[in-house]
Amino acid sequence: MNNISFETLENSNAQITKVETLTNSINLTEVQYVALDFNGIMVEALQYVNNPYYDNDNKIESGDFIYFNLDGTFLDAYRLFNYQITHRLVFGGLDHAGFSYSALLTTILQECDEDLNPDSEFCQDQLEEIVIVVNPGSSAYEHPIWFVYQNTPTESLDAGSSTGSGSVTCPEGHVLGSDSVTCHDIPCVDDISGKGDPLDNMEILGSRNNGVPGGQYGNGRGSFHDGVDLKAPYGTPIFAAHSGIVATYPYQANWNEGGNDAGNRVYINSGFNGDDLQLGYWHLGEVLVSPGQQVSQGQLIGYTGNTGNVGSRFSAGPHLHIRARKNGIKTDPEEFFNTDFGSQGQNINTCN
Amino acid sequence: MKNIIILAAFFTSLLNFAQNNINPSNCTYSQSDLTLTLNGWDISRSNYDHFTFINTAALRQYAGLQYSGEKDTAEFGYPWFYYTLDDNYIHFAGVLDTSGDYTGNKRLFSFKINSGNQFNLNGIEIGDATQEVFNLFPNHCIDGNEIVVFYDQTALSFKFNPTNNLITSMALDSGM
Repeated sequence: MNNISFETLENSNAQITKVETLTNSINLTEVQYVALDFNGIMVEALQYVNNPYYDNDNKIESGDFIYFNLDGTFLDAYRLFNYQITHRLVFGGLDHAGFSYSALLTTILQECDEDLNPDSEFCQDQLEEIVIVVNPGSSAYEHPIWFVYQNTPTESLDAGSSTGSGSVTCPEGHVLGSDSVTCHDIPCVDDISGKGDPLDNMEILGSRNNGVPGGQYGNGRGSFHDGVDLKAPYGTPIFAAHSGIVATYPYQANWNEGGNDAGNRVYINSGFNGDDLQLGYWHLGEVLVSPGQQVSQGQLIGYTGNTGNVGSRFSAGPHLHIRARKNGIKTDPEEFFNTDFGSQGQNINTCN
Repeated sequence: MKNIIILAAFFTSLLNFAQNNINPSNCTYSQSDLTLTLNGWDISRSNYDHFTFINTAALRQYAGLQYSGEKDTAEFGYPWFYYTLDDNYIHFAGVLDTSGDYTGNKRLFSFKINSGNQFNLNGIEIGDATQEVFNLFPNHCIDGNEIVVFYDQTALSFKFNPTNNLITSMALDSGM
């Protein structure tokens, strides 16, 4: 294969299109608008380099180069090593195994060898829609600027600009994720039992190494797991599973690396079937409720983040850790969820 | 020959890059296999106390060392102790039994060493060659640009820069 050559088109006046809906989202930082030379044919594209390593001249020596057409469709991906292309990479689908932007991206990349196995599933493009996030800010708390692409253009943005924002209106019964693009169902409640869920479409996250039971309550990980890990990509809305009052302590919304392994967390004191119930919500990114605040079942209280030890080798990716105390005694949180889970942690009765 | 081995290891890492899953049985060690020490502190010790630790680990010499004292006991039901030095941190925590009850013992729970030469794991420091890790752990797993081993119910990972095969960070996780 030829080497990749490209020219960065910063602050270009070229127009790209933006729409409001999508089915899959990928968070990409530091996307560049580039002109590619594919065997002598110039192609405009958007480039993202995953896991780049720079030489002393600040040139990329190795990394995964991923390209998208300006209409948002996946174009191609290559792995560069020692300035030479060593692999062609093709998107193989989305899952939840990553826990950060870069890890998510590495997870969905599968290798394709067109010479040896051209019919491999990894050689088939599987994404029909894609979202590209351009985040020029340095703070994790800044809202990213969104360039969303689909086949039918509805609005134009300047690809070289770092201003502008997307706007999505979710239908009734849905809440916008912290990505400002994805609409999530509000979890349903069992009117008879009063049980509720903190997420829509709940599923217990497995351990990256031990299998599904690793995310359950108890002894799945070598040490006692005091709670349940629920699969939740970064930025997923979190709802109060039960009505109650946000505890004054413990409460944290300003976690930094090196701090408590629970990260940003909220505890909500409730009553359930005559018992005192406290549910703790760990590893949040943005926290939307304050200590002492009364919250209702199904109320949005925050978004999942990557705080605490959410990236531990003993978890399989981004998740919401839920901890339960019944009358002050540690308890399996599943007892208070509307959702029931199968032996592999799958949701067997979601209403969403 | 050494370069060839390192290069082979890097390409092995590339092949594993997309999987994000590793088989712990290929890279698991127990206390009986070897003793791991962070600045001379046996990471399996369960009789932690602050002064013994900082004396053993020779951390008194660093004015920037921050120590939290006992924290978060009411929240978790067992104590935590946090150390920070520059962008490096070490957490100790109470040891639980299989029912999740605090045994009264305390041990190293997690750490992440990102920079500097104040910390070493069995002599391995940030900036050392990956070969040092391979020598210490002949049976290791590679996940992307991380070397991973499991040891005594913890997971150790060493991130490295594949362009020069130097260690860029060391971390220890425990399940929670």
